[in-house]
Amino acid sequence: MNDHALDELLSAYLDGELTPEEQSRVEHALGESGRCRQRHEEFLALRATLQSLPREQLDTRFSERVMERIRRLHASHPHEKVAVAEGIDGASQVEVVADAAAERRIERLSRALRSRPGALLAAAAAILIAVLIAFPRGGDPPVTERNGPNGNGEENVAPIDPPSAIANGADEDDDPANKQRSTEPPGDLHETPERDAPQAVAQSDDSDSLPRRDDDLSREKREPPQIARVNPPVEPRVDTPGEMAAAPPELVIDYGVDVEKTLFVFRLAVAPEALRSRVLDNILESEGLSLGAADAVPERPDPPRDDAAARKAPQLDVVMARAFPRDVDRVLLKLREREDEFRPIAVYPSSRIRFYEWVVAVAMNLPSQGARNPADLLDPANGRASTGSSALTDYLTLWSDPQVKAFAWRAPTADAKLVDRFFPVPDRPAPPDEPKGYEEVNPNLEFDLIFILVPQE
Amino acid sequence: VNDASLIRQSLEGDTGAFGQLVEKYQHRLFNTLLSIASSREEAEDLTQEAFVQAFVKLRTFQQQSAFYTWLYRIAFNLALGRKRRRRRVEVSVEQAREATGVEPLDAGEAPGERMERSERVIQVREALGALSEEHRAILVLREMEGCCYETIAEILDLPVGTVRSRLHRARSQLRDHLQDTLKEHSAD
Repeated sequence: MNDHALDELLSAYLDGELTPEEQSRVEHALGESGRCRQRHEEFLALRATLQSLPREQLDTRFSERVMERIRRLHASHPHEKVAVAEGIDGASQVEVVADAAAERRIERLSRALRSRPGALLAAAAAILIAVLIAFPRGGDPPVTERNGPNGNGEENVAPIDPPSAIANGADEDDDPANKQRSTEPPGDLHETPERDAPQAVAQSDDSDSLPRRDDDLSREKREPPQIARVNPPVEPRVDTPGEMAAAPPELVIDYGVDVEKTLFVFRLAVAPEALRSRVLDNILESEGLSLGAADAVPERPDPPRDDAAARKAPQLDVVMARAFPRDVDRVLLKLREREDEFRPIAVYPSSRIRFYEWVVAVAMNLPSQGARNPADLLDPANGRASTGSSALTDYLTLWSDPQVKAFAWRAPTADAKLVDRFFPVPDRPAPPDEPKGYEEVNPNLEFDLIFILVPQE
Repeated sequence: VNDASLIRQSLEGDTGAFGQLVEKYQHRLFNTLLSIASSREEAEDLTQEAFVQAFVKLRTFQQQSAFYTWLYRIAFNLALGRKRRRRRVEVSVEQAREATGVEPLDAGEAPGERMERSERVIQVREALGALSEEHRAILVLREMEGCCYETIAEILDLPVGTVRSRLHRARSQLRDHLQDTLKEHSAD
């Protein structure tokens, strides 16, 4: 047995976590080897050192502050919303955030909004937008996935239409944010947050999350609401003017920013093990991408431990990194070489991130998984309780506004219509192509449904 | 009152019952997070957030594990999620001081001893800060919280085998960072 293996046994010996056979092997080694005894003593000293660290005290008002938040949270839900708020993990986190978490960030945003009175609601009519974005089923693939068009559940990453803002790089000057700001009419619904908030997220020390589907959500502000069409089977691709799947080895994508080091957002499907092993970090760093403002947002940070399939299933991650565009191209090439671990879905510079009022709560429980109404989603017995994402929650904080709600559910297509029943919106103008949208997509695919409700002023 | 009763009362709408759970676990959780977070403020923030999320998710808690294990799992998900996104910053002595806060000192210590002790605490905090967050988390759970491998596996969502190997690597790295301090500690 080599030293490393023996040291590992010594470490576990210290913890009383060895089998009897291993234990006798270690005890034998301790009797025979001075090096072993020394290592054992070092581990013991290490333990004593760590345990000697002083214990800190929270101030006496800490629990009061926690409970104040919790009471506000508890009181702020009208009774009829409780089932939804409690039953859908992601949704409940929306409520949490609306009540607190990073109140500093809310304050920051509030200040930004106050500086442009009416920016948020001036143009708002009652709108319901359904954006369907196809993803492979991540955490707990049900049967429909395995029966998908290609049978392996791996290639169901569907493109969404490239956002026009991204596709059109021609309007960029050296400072895209400034340029856009100067060309848009004052009082535009999205003006302030669109520019400021994502940047603030990226640069803020205490920000942990990212916008998701920002491109799609924002696109509808300039264009009629659209539903991204998905025609299976589809190849993985990057939702940029350049497409990953079809890209030549010398990948050159026009991001609309050429010279500046820019904050880029990567949306990737990442195998959980790859995420843990820091491969992604290493790839990014090897290309000189500064990760000082990096974020990775696992949508399902804690899959059920007993679900082997869930452990292997890809998670969706969002990573932000400051980089020159050419560095990004090289990273994408490297990621393509490891397609078992990473599937790039979209890459775009943060200057293209457009404002969206609300982000998203993700829930995995929907009727196809046994629930028939929101109350059923409360039932943990089906073992499919959603994990939500605290990172998304944090991001939601930025646009916290009790007037506006958004929910996103990961759902098979067949469930999509039922969302309307859960969240009926009277008198909402139906987007022209919404009704047929559900049927046109592949019924075996799973979607993030993002519903944004913008109230009438 | 045991945790199960407090949880039941909380689910019935008695927020005061949840308050008792907060009182019971806040210091323990905070001290654990203090070793993982980059500042005292962040540790407090994480502690608070963990309790709030636990309250929100309480209905999904199936009580197959202890409440604090479940709570820790939430807290570590929060903490490691943040950490993974934010590159670790080397903890300077000043930061370590800040994270350590006002150190409770033994009344019987002479000023010289006090200073030595204080320096040692800073060195240990620095050495911990130099580890990856995964290594730090697992060390803290084992050495400071006394969790068994099974519980660590549950909190960090790792196979038990990984807990064992990672813990060994974490110890080895910390030992390398603390060679001198450990010798002093052994000599004490």
